Amino acid sequence: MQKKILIANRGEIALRIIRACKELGYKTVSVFSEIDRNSLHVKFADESICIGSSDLKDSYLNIDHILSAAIATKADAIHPGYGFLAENMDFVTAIEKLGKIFIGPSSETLERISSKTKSKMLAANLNIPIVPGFLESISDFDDLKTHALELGFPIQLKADNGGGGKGIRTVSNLEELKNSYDIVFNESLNSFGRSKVFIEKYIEFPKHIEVQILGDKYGNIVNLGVRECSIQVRNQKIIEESPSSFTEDDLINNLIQDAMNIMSNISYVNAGTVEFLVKDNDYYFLEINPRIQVEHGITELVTNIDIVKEQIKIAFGNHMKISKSNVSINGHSIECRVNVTDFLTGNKINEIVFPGGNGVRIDTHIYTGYEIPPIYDALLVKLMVLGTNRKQAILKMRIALEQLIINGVNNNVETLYKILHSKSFIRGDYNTKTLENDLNYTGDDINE
Amino acid sequence: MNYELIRKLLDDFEKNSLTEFQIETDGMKILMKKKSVNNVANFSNYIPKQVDDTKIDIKNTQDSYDIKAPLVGIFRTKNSNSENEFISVGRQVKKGDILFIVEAMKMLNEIISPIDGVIEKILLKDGQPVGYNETAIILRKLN
Repeated sequence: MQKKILIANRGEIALRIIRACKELGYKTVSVFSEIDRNSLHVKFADESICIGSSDLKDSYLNIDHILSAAIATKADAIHPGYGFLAENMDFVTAIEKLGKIFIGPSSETLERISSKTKSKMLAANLNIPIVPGFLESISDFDDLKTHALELGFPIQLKADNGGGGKGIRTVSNLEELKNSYDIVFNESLNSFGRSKVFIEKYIEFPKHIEVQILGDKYGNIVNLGVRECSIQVRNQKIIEESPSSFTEDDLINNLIQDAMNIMSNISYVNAGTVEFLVKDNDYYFLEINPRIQVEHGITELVTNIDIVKEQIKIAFGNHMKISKSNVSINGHSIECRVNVTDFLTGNKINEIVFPGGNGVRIDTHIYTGYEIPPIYDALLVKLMVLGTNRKQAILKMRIALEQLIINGVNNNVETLYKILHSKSFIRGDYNTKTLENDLNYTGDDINE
Repeated sequence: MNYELIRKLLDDFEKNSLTEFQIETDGMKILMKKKSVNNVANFSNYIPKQVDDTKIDIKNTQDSYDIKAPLVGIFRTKNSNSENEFISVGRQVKKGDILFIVEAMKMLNEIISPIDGVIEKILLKDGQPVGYNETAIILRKLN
């Protein structure tokens, strides 16, 4: 009998997964909240089932409802996509207990990397550089003060279970320390139910580099090169490229080696990403993202490997056919995340025209007449290009952005277009804070 | 058939576990039914839970009522170990009778009738998946 995969997600990533399933000959089940009734993932799957109201806790974040849907539709496996329950240990454990397949790492692996300090400790034990700091929980303000002075300002206070920009605070001097600590402590307690806070040196103006890893159940681990995700707005990535904007080969090779090392050490299975901060000639391990990532497409463009299909094959117990010898990076790819900026002009896509041509890829769930539910993420379109080199990719992306027309909803296409023309971006001379400071349109010629 | 015999039949029916009994004799038809209060699903490891009927979404168009599932799960119209369906098209139901069950996470959520009515349509089959707010049954109100 044909196996069935339930996709516990929505939007473009649900479509991406449905397509991969169809190519591999699996049946698909979509789940949706009431407000998503007219979304494409509902229409493209073989079966669709409503799992709850538009309240997140009643639908895409509701483990019971999703599992009920999986049982009722007799799904063999569940793909979590990104966000929502993708890294939720209770969800993964429940799926394993049901005897169904989770398309991602095991609950055991998730447990080992379930907090920032656990992952950092793991890296440190393997002699992988981590940001200087103290990983023990701080309970006493005098301790905190001693540590802060020892590290030297600016420092960062982080909630161990934090994420999504919450539970993190940069402190530039001693006067702010007490107040910042109280804020992080309370945010952590309110948002994550726990209150472990640790202190780190703040790395100013770093680049963000990550390594894409695939591992199968038989101990084979392979890397698909790096991505740079340094163009960020308030810690949210908006432009990514693969491999990266700079060419310090030794540093990149060392960092890839360390990524392979930590993932081998935890016998990582399925797709995962190891994130690093890079500052000058140093790099620091940041965290492991145990899931498919938004920006996986640019790696697919340069490697010609379908990561989502690999995820499914690995989860069903296949031996990975990819090895070091048959991964080659060809060309340079860039992704722009076209986002909604506000709903001041409404939430309905009145008209949309997509660019195209050689080396242009679009992953999206929007269509003419689609009304964007204002309760989910801002992502409208992932616009990706593949060029023979970085310069060709930039040129291609500029043309693609010029030809992308979205009417009805305010979006960031113009901002993206300006960045693609800025000196900092063209030279690769940018970091995670550049956009907030001076990544402005200069009209610079790329040939300069 | 005399009164004495009918009374004896009633007594026996009362003591018996049967919920319905029909006899036809000498041109006379007698139908006896018990209130289906005990007609609850009884998988021993499952916990039946009566869904608060204020949560059930009922769309009333004139006399027709759409009975919707209040949660996602498996649509059940009978107990696992029974052949008897709670409902069939044309059957009369009283307010409070069980119409169907939504099985979710080992819980049997009983969906009860909000009105006295007749089953007009059953849109799903026993064992099929049912989505949140999906119409499962259409009832016609009895006046």
